[in-house]
Order: sequence, then C-alpha cells, then structure tokens
Amino acid sequence: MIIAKIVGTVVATVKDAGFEGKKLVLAHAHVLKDGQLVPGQTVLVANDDLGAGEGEFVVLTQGSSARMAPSMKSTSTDAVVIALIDRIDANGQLVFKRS
Amino acid sequence: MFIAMVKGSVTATKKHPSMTGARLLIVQPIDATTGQPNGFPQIAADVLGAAKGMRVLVVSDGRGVQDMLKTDTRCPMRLGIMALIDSPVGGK
Repeated sequence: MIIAKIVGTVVATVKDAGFEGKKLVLAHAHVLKDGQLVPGQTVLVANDDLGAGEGEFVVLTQGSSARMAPSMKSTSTDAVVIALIDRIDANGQLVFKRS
Repeated sequence: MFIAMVKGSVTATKKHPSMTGARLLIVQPIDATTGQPNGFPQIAADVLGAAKGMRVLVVSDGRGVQDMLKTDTRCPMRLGIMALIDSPVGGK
C-alpha cells in the first residue's frame, strides 16, 4: 500500500462493463523524505468509492488485492483508494494532519 | 492502472490459443499530469476499439484481461485496456 495525493479525476465513456458507475481518480504517489511528504515518481489511476477529493492524501492498495475491496468484486482494477488519511506520524514526529 | 497513448499494434499468427481474436496494441505510458512519455512502451489487449493516438486506461490485472477476452483457457496476458479516456489529463 502506498500514500498518494489525489490530483485529479479521469472520465471515460467507453469502458469495460465492470467500470460502469465507478469513479476514477488520478493519484500522485508520495514518499517520506527527511520527515516530509514529497511527491514521488508515479502518477497512477485508481478507483475510489470513499469520495476522495482533490488535494486529499489517501492510502492506495495495488495489485490483485485491490479487487478484495467489497465494491470492486466485479471490477478489473489494480488500484483502489482504501482510506482517507487523517494524520501521519513517523519517527515520533507529525508529518501530516488533515486540516 | 495508468494512462497511456496508443502508438500502434502488434500482429502475431502463432500465439497462445487463449489470445485468438485479441487485438494487441503498443501503448506508451504517459505521466498523467504532464502528458509526457513515462517508461517503456508496453503491449496491452484491447476489445474496446482503441485507435492510434487515443489516451487509454491500462490495467495490470491478468484475471481482468482473462474476463475481458472471455477466453476458455487460461490466458497469459497481463495488461488490458479497460477504458478510452474522455477528459484531457489532470482532470481539468
């Protein structure tokens, strides 16, 4: 699982039936560096049914486990938002707190 | 899942039986925020009718590709095109 920041949404009319009615978001992977959350190398697309908004930090799960999310049983997805992050602590320091 | 640009197609006469009828497209992953190429081109299965120059959503899910191709035998493909992107990158 990774920490990512929602940076946008993706809209597609022509799609696999399993994606019908499923929201797609653009998520920019973030990494911890010197006690700060900084943007990583990859921007990926993920399914979201928690209502993640632009600018929010989320937990993404990737790979076949993504399908284990209850709402994704019939969706051929490999990335799902599974949590909206309230706060992150690392090495005894507060890294992020949702405002 | 990642966004990619369709660059071309691949034709193979002799292939795994489960891939019969599958269109194989060459897709170049792009950075969804800038539109710039990002990484090596990949080959993905397509049933939606993606064409050269289109931006597509590529999923790395072998089971999903198997479902998509409705194949009787197990299919060794991993990447599949699951959607044709309407919006420009970045969601704006």
